[in-house]
Amino acid sequence: MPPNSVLDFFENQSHQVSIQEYGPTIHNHLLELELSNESSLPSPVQEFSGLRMCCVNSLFDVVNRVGWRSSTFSLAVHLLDSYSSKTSIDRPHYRMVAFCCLWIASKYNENKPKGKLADALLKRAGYSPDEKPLFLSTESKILNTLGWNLSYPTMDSFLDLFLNTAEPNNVERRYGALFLCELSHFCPEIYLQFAGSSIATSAILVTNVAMLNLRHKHICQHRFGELDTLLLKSVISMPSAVRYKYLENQSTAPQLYSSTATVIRNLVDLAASFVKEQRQLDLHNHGLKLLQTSSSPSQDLRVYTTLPISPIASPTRHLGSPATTPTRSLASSSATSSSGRHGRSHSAASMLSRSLDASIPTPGSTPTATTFVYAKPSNSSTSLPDSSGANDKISQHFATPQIFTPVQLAPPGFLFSYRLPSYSGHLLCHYSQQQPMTASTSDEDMGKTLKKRRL
Amino acid sequence: MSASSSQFQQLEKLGEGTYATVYKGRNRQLGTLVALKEINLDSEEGTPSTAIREISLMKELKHENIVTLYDVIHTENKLTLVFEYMDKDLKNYMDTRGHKNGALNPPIVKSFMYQLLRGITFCHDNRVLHRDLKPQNLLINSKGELKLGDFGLARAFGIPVNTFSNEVVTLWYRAPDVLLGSRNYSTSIDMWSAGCILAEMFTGKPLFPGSSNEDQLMKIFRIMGTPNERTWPGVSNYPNYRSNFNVFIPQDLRVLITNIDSVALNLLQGLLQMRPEMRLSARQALNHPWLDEYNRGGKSPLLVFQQMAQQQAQDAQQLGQGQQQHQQQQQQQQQQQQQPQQHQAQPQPSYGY
Ligand SMILES: Nc1ncnc2c1ncn2[C@@H]1O[C@H](COP(=O)(O)OP(=O)(O)OP(=O)(O)O)[C@@H](O)[C@H]1O
Ligand SMILES: [Mg+2]
Repeated sequence: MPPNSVLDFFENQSHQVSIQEYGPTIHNHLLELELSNESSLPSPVQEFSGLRMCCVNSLFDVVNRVGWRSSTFSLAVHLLDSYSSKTSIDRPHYRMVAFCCLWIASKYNENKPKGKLADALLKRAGYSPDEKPLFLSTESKILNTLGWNLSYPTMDSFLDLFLNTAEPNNVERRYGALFLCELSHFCPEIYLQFAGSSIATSAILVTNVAMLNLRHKHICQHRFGELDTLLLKSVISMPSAVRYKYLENQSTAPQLYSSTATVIRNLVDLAASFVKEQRQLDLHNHGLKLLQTSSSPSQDLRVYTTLPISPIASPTRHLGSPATTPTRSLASSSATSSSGRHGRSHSAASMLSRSLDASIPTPGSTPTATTFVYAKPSNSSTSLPDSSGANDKISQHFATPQIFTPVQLAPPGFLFSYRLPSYSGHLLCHYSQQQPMTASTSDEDMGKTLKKRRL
Repeated sequence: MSASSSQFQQLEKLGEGTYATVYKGRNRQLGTLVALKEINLDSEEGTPSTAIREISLMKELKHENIVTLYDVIHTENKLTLVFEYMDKDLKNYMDTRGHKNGALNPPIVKSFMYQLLRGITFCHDNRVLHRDLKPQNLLINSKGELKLGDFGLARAFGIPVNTFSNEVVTLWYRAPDVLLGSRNYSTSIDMWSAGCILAEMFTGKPLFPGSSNEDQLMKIFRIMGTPNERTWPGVSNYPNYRSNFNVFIPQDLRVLITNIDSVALNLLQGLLQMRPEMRLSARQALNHPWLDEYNRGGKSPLLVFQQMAQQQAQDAQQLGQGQQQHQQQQQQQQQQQQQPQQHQAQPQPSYGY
């Protein structure tokens, strides 16, 4: 053991003691700060949205390269948004304001730097050294406009309070959640509309789901809250500086096969899967609405909104292994807790079709009586079932007692009487999507899930 | 934040620190006294980070044992912080009010210690490390209230291990783990300083007056004993640890601090633990039996000062001389009038943690 890790161990231990002692009061204090900040929550300044994205990207890059804390970045973005909502900035000046905010945040958060930081930042922002006086007066103006109030509870401070350090995979979980939190700064629709503590919570929940390494169809089954959905979408449109830090840079990005790299990869996969699925759903709902004109949607609404949230039906359940790990139960509760609204609740019909997804065994995942065969490639790649065949399978499925899905609560006949056309249509596109994955990589997938669980 | 410098009349200098000069000032309109802390702005690096942290953190920390920041006046090349006026810092207080060698009476030590610990507890509860606790930075007003001042080195700490600078805290009050090179210290750094201050109030002399990092460590080891892997597991891994440190055995603190009672000694020992994780936390120290009379008895820590003022007034009266006596009497009457008000102003629950 290198000497430093011994020291780290003891220092960590003494920090554990202070967390236990001060965690609750600090949490209270941070929430109070958040509430007091909430009243002056900056409103998005529309005219700068493109410029903001660009500047925040630069700030993130600087923070990453200098090796500053994530909270410095977070504070800088907060200062930029509050300042720009309090005064009017002229466009050519915006970039200077952004870098000045970073300068202030670093003075508040970081140890004293060796060189001349102001000059370096000015240069990086693309201004000439002559403009230093303006940079200095901008600093004063920002500090005075904001009333010298830099006590902003950053998301990473909430992450540390919310994460249970005693849980396994805590390092990976923090890494993944921090990645999502950092991403959220780039999206005004997340950053300016949700409190930091909510974003931190949601980031942890989404990371938990990602760490389960679910296959596509199980992802479809999981219901993400509104905020979770926004976070996942932000992963798809990752800005260049974030991509550089987490995926491209050799020195800061995690090693390819390290556990932290796996978390990021899982998150990217999850997001891709989720967004693809949602696009399908949107298409599907559109079609459904057209077909539905004769039936009464209001009736459906009453039935289906009372359905319980489905637990994640991952293969582990069928295998009779411990059905719910703590992380999983946390993850499944996310849909209700985070916003009280379902992220994907476009209509009651979409919920219905989602329940169908959950219960209808796609050929690849049909459970048999004794052993569970995960994704038979031959089955899934060749045949597309006609509607009657599917129905047979469904009745088999309902007879299997171990499998619990919310659809069991509704009589099958009721479900299929007039949903069938659209349902089979949906199934069709589903197959074509799943084919490559299930056909080629099913065994590997199985291995991955098992490995993941052992971690 | 609308004050301008013309609003205050600058009076005599109160003190000078490393990055600021503090003047007494008077509000021209209200006639009230304030302390004006003037900080020069650098044309290279703008507003000093110490000022940014001090202002922002002090605006956040509102407590009766923390000096109130009223205002910030920002001009072209100068930054002036307007603080509530305090009569003295603890160092001055010990020099002028203590016995011949600067030692304080045990009841006063107890009152100050209680107020100090309340201030620290509040900081730590709000995730702020002071990092520069020493008698010069503890301010005392005429009522005997002690307040933490000078948050120039303070900073907000995150819950996980942070890497801080180890160039913090005036040498004499710096904890051994920091001297050994730890950069991941936490709340325990302030508790060591509190222990040093407690001892100093009893004796009037700094407990570990080192002259350099190395000398400071030796001064500590000489009294607390040289640590080894057995007494402090992991100590040999600190960057500044050397295996050829002079070996000292721990001394009995009672020999050094003759007027300390055994309960107070127990608290002192809890604070002066070499291992950071063994040191008492601020709240634990605050709940120490030595401070029971304030915690459970509900006694105001300011009572001892009121009694002392009364006593002094009486003594002066007995000397009895014309005009002077008359003045004293008036003062005494005023104090007596104030007393019941003060009792009301500090109801018991506010002092009972
Ligand atoms: N509010 C006040 N009322 C009265 N005196 C004060 C007040 N604030 C500060 N002083 C005096 O001024 C001195 C220096 O103030 P302060 O410690 O705030 O300055 P500093 O430059 O931060 O010092 P340091 O060298 O410790 O960093 C104090 O030791 C004290 O004697
Ligand atoms: Mg000072």
